[in-house]
Amino acid sequence: MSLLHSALFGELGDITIIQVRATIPASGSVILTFNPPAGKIYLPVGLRLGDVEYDKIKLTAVCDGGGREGGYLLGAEWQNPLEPLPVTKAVFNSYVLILENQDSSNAQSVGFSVVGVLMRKEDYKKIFEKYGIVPKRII
Amino acid sequence: MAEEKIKIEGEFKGKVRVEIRDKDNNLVEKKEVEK
Repeated sequence: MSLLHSALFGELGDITIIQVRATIPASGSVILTFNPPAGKIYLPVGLRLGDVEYDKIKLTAVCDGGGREGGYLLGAEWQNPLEPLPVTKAVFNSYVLILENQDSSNAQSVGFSVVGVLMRKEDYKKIFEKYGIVPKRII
Repeated sequence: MAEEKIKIEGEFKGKVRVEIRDKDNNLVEKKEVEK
């Protein structure tokens, strides 16, 4: 069973969804940052892009903390909206997604959602071992 | 009333911040929610 499927069946913890709608200026970007509450870890397992013209909007970076320049880059040039996020070596205290508007003439309205699981910090080790996830840094 | 540029929804418990930046990376709009 894949990590995504396990999460969706609720095996890893409580499934939570973040939904965002934003209007991105021409050649601009939208940056989503999220942090779980104290004592918990959020494991994002999927990103769903809705109402998006895929040739105009591009996910350019997936980082932990600090944004495009300050964070550890987990994945970029990610194009397939239906694939799970590249989280196998991720850290989940602070997480950043950057979507860029490739259209240099028009603003674009985008809707997207992140599906993930919220788990207690004390549970993460056994879960990560079970699924072969290698955490880089847990604060 | 001006059009809302950012909407954040969902049952995520924690802090969510969304920033919109222009082509020169200047901040255009920011919204933050915490549950």
